[in-house]
Amino acid sequence: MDSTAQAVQLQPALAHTTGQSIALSTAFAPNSNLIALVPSPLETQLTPSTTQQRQLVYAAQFAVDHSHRREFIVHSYTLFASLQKIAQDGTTDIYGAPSQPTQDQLSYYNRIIRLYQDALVQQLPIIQADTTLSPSLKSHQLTHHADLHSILSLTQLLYLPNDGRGDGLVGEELLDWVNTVDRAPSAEEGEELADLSRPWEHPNFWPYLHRCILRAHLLSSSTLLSLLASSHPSPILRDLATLATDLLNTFPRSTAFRTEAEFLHKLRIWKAEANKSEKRAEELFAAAEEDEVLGADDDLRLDFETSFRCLFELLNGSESRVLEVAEDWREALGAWGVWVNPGGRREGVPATLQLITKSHPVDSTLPSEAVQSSLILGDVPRALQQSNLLSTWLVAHLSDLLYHLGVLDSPPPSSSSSNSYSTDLRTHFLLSYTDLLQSDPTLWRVTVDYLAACGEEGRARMRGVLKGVELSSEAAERVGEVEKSGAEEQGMDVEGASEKENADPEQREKENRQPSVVEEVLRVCSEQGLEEEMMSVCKVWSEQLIAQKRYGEAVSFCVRAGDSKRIARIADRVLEEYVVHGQESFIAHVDSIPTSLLRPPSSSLHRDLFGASSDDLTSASRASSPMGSDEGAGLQAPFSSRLSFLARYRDFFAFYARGDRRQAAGLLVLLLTSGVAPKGFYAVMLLDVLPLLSAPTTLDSLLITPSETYELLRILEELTSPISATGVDIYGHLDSLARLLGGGEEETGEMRTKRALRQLEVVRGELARHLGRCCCL
Amino acid sequence: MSTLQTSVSLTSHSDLITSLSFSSHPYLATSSLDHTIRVTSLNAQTGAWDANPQDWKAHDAPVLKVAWAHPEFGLLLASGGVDGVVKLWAQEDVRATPGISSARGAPAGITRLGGGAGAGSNGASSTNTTTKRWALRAALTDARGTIRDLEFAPPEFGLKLAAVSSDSHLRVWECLDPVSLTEWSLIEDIDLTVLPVGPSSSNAGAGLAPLPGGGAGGGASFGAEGAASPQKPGQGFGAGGSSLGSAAGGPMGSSSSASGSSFDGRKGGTVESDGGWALSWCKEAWWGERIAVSAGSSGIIRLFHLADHAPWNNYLNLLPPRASSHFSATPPTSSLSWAPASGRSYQLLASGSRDGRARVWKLFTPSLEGEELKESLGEDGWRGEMDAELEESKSARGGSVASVRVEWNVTGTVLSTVGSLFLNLMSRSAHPFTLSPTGWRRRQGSALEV
Repeated sequence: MDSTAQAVQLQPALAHTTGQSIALSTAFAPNSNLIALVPSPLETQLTPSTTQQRQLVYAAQFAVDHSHRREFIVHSYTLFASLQKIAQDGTTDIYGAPSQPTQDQLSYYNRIIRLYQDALVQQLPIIQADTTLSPSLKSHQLTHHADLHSILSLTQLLYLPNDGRGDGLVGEELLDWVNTVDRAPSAEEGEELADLSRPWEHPNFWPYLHRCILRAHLLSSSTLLSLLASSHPSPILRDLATLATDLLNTFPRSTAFRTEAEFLHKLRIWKAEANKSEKRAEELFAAAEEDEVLGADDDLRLDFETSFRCLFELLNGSESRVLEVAEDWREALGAWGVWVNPGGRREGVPATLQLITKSHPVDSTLPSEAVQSSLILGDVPRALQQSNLLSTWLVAHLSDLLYHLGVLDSPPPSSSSSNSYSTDLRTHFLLSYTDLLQSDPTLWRVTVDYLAACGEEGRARMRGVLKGVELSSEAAERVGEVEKSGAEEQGMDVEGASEKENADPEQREKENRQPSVVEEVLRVCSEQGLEEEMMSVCKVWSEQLIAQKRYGEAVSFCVRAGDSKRIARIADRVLEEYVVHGQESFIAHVDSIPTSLLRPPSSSLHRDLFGASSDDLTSASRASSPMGSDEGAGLQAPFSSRLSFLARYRDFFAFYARGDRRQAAGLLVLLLTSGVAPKGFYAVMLLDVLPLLSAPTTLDSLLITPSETYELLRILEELTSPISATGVDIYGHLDSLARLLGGGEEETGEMRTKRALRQLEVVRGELARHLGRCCCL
Repeated sequence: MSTLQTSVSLTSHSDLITSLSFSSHPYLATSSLDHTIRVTSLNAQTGAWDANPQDWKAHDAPVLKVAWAHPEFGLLLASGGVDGVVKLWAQEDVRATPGISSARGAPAGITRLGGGAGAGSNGASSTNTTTKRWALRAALTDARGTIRDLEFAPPEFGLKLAAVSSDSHLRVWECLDPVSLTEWSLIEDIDLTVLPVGPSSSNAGAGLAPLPGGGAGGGASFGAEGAASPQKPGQGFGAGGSSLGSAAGGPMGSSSSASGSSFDGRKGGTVESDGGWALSWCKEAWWGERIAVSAGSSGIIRLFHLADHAPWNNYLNLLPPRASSHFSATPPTSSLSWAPASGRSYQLLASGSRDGRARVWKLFTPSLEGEELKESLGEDGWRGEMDAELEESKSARGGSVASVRVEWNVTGTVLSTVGSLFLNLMSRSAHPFTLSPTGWRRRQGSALEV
């Protein structure tokens, strides 16, 4: 257990009644790293307290990493994702670990790691410009980014060389890295010295010169030396300086040559020259006592002698001298590849570092240096472990890269022991990175993709993340509610299609955007093959749509979830709309349901049942349906039996409205007698029969035939007989009708039933009269 | 790097908050000793959970627990309290003239769907405004004691609710009517006090056989059935009379008088303060309906398998080790939390006890490939072992030993253990490199001291 965990105080402090000790209760938010915390009673004191006090809810964010911005996270995520794609193209060995990456892949990886670095660099001006950061925080963040950059560039240098194979000379690259990571000596020092008329008298002259040579800033060194060569009063010193300047000016840099052989050849010639110069220098030292300036001042002479000796030794690549002059291990390492062992390659670097660290140990308190040295020594697991202390972002992406390079151990064979919790390093670090990502709910897509790269455990967590995604853009909704609570609620009352027209642009935009989150989640689920989650999301969303009375869309989501029960429930709700809000509302809701579901083309059974008579109407309402007909194509009758009833009942209204009473009557009787309608709705439909019964003149003009009338009477009897026998509407047959007929709030259920029963008696009377008239014709 | 940031929002509760729960919509429900429930959502501007508050008097006694149903079933909230009733709340539209707020003190009558929606006057609706209000859908009165914990089953099993009350019965109800949510049937009623220490099943004759599901009426009809069970709740531990119990004797008395006459008779003067009651469903539907329950003073965590067409089976018991001189036997378990599926070969169950410790149990599920050593496994092929025991970091602070509550986050990666004076967020270290001796590490900077 981490003993360094610090305690955090609650602000404001918990104010509770003195003497009353309390407990705490917590709850995790479903979609972010947020935990809510409240003061709770102890289990021994589940009693109301005497003093009344308004209670506080504390919300605490955990696992929040402020060192990176969202843009950076998203940017680096795109790089991560493309890396996964490239890696997928590669082959894997029998253990599932990537085999040696191909040349193409290596150059891609090299590109990716450079892009990671670019992403970091792009952050620097943003941090600089951020006025919300305190100066100390700002400089901390800048250093942090620089550290990450240095580690990535070192990784690139050592493990992902630009040439792909990394068998070239490494010295200049290493030195270049050292010069980038740790700029020294500073340009100001150089300028200050160059401005002096006698710079060699400045105490910093020689240290500066030596460090310039270590860092191979040859131009600055030779400029300074040429000052000495041209203007020092002592001729011997002038000679020495000229000797050194010449050497510096002729020093071959490997970067200037096209082939290695050419460079090494030139280097050999130069080395011989340097040897000669050193000998010549020794002669000059010997003659220095006779020099008119130096001869007079022994201290001065010895001083110059040591400094020049040091300079020549550096140029000749003396190991001990380089170690002596270098300030830290990085400087020594950089100088090594230029002066001591210019022909060095990557294989030799670890040994060199081991040699250097004997006199310049790595400061292990600085995580970035520790990581760097481990990387150089080739101890990848250790490097990752140390990067973990530095940055979760870094270690996740670094381990991923190194894993794909094949330098990280492959995961242990799975299920070796059920007790083991261990996963491979890369998975482990990626998972801890996703922990941080979860603190930002808007990053769920990013989180899911990282988790997708984490095997079984990642998948399990992915389910949790996807379940927690807030489907509706409620945040926007809530703002809206705060701003215009009244207006919004009015909008909810306007039914169906008119709602969209009336809504203001903001609201319309909201509605357009809402499904997109759902679709996004569904897309991700199907990409990841999470069937169950997909169904669950469809169900949850359709439930929310039902709550918003968007029945049409709700139905199509139910179909996707294969949830016929819920469709039946929606059908009931649409009927409820008819009862509560009336015909227009009902029609609007039915029309919002995708036509292909209302009237499945394959359902020949229903076509036979209802004949071809309503075909023209079908096409009319199809055109008016807001949803495309492709939505449920191929879905069969199981979903549609309840929906068909809605469609037919809506047709009935349409027939009736355009005066086609014959069609209307036929359809209504068919609905009643075929058993398609839900039982609770029979009573309502019987009431609809009334206007169709009136005044037949001939037998042909009869809308409802005598036999149909008998049938209707039978249905009526079926409904009312249990009620007249018991006095109560046990089966709720009259429930819908009773409510349709309305009445005051204060009315009891019994009174309503009675009234509904009276209405049905009227229907019975009318049916009887109709039968009588029919007989007379 | 990792920090703990806090924000605060003020509630309208006038007394301590007993439980809180997030739905994924997202709403935050809180229940309080002052008999009210409050539901709020996130304020987009301030980031505090105080937008659109709705609160209402929900029970006639302190409310102890609230829980949300899975969003597949819409917005459905269950609450239970000292009055021994489980109530189910759903949002419904209420027509009101502008200016009249129906938030506080919504009438608590059982309303059928749309029942309150006025006089079906077609077309006149657009002049009114609609507000949402939490309305009581059902009240389940089967319990014979304080409702101490309740939780909805995973949605795969339908709309089911389990509750454990201080009469030490585990009860499971199923909703028969997902549209109106008014009809709930008691499908399991297991008396935990009569079960043997070892695993058992209802075939063995211990406990009550599951009641046949399918009662037609509302909650009231179940009251009669439940009354037939010969229980004297709480007697087993009420006589314990430890220092804790006697210390709490006073306040409990006032509780009885404060919470109304309706439940007094039923409770029979039980001293509840010594025990612990908790339950948690197994989150992974693959394994069927499994639930962990602990009740009373024994502290045994019982794992049940409630198969659909078979009698219940108490297939595994977990015994927290005795750790404190306060308790003669195992410490009572006051909180249970079953972790979400982790993609590993075992399940994790966290328990919090009255001795101030949280424990994490590893439950090994039967191997799918088969031939494990059958004799070493419990019935049903499940095996459990304690994985870690997490002690309160500041146990020295404060006088009494507090019970610990445990909860997992949504991915099962962070466990919060919370006692009287601290909150710890623990993560399971997944790699040997960062593994501490116990395998658990406290998240950096996440210990909270009150």
